[in-house]
Amino acid sequence: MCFNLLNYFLFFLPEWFLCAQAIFRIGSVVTTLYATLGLEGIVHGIKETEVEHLVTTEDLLPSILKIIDRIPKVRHITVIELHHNLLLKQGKVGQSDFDQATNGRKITLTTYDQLLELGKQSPVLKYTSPKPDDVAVILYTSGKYS
Amino acid sequence: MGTSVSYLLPQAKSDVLFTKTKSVDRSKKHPFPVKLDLDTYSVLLLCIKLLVIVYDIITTPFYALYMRPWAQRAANRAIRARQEDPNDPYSPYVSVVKADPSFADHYVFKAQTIPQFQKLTLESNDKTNPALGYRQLFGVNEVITRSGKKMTKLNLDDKYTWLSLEEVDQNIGHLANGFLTQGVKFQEKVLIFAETKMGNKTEVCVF
Repeated sequence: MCFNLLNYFLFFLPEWFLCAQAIFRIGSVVTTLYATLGLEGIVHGIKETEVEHLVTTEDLLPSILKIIDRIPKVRHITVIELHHNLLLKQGKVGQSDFDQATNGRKITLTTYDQLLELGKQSPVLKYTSPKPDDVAVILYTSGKYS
Repeated sequence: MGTSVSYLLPQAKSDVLFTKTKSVDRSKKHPFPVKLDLDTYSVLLLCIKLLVIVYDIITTPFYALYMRPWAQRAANRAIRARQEDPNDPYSPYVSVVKADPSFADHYVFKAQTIPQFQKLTLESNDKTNPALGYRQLFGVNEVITRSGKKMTKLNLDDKYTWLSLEEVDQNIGHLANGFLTQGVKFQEKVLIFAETKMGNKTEVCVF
């Protein structure tokens, strides 16, 4: 079925892979943080990299909500849903929780599907392709293999 | 390691173990139907040993010629990577091993950046090839194990759902435009925060 030379098994969601590839394409820098680092580690990583955009999964959204007042630079959060279209319906952590917690600071919560749709509907924007010596990834390792 | 060994030794109590084993009277119960005395045994054993030694001596040169251990040793000692600029301690290590000739012309070597690689992959392959496979999630069950630990069990499809190369490229394009619309700039950092293991296996094919 597959005519490939290599198969990669990833312990990730397919959305993770596609998001990373999309960020590579527009010459932005993929930064990775893992839940195993603990909340302090995450706050440190977010502060150090000064990110404004964050991609995370649905199950980690409560942890982000806990530390949201300590990461003032974050403006956009993209959520990869485990069940598609269920996040905003099921009374889980949602946009309103973030609005309350941040006291009026504007944070937009977008689901992965919404981001995909936004990119589809919006006029195609120009971007700069990266050069070979531009940064592609900053890896904060999971800490499992130190 | 060292601590665990010293902890185990006093517990083994070797003297107790040995006193409990009964001494076996070999003359009464014999494993062989023919009764042989000890000397016959040792002679038989000696014969087998001699046979093995003779066999080893005769076959060793042929075996060595076949296995070529010197080639393996040379391959182990060979330098596989060198610093690009030996005078600069920060210069990266580059492989000096020649690529497999069947891969030498592979388009992956022409790409210098990831977007170039994405483009080349799309151009050099059939667009309908399956490229990204994943198992669909039907539901999540909370399971409590015997030790009282809470576990999340993912109810996954047995079969993989595949996205074709073209679909993958389109999705990447849409997402990229989505990020751009949200104001992500060139060389700006975007954080991906996830669990290392979702139990949800994704498979990516590299053509």
